[in-house]
Amino acid sequence: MNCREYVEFLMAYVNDELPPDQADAFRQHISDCPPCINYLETYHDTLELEKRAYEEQEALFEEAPENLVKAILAARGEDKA
Amino acid sequence: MTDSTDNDHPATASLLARLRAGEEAAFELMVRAHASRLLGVARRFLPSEDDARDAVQEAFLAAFRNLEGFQEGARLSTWLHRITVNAALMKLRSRRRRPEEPIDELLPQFDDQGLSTHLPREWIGHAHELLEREEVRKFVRASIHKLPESYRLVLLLRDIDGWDTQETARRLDLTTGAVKIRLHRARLALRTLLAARFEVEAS
Repeated sequence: MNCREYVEFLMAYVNDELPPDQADAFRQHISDCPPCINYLETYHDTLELEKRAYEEQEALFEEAPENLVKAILAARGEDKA
Repeated sequence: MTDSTDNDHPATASLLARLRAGEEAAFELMVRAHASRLLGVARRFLPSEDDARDAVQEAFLAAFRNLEGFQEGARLSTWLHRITVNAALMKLRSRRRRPEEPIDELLPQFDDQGLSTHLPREWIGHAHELLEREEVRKFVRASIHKLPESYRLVLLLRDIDGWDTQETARRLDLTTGAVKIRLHRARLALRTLLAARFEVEAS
């Protein structure tokens, strides 16, 4: 397996979807290729970063903007009419 | 986010009954409790604040019209989240599409032997260390926004909203195979954008 194939199979490997022989080839490639170890580690970092990038924004749980609430209630009134 | 960040309890029969009876106060209660979080959801998909607010408004109206479709015992917040994502997607779809930038330049490059032309280096910190800084979160969100739309939507639905492959495929009119390929490429492209900032200097 070369670096291109390694990257191609990366998601399947992470999802544990590779057949055993390909998973072995994948692991063999990592053991021979330090840059691809970096790639795998930073791929995992990417997943964690993207999944948590929005957390704080939502956790703030600021009060709903009053003009938005009013607009929704008014639209609901029109919707019913 | 899925249920893990929800902090409401399963909708009680009484609140539902009040909503279904058309009680204004119950509707207002629902709006006040959820509008802020749903605005955050809509903003992920729609960079324009006006569009995001419109989507939230449409989502609440759609929710109210479809109260019968709400399964008792489910979480109201999860149900509203889904409706908001749908409203945001509808809004995106209704816009005239511009030709999309190709994603290829953001994918890893290889030579004829299949070796990386840019050898990936370590990053200046691990994700959990980097995430301590709000500016990093902002940078990651901005990087996600830089992805071509057809890739960004798959990444948001699969990785951030936690939809499964089948549901994402159905909603975006794609095959499940296409969803998997786009998710794979979107993650690689995002990694490239992040690496430009986080990779340590070459020694």
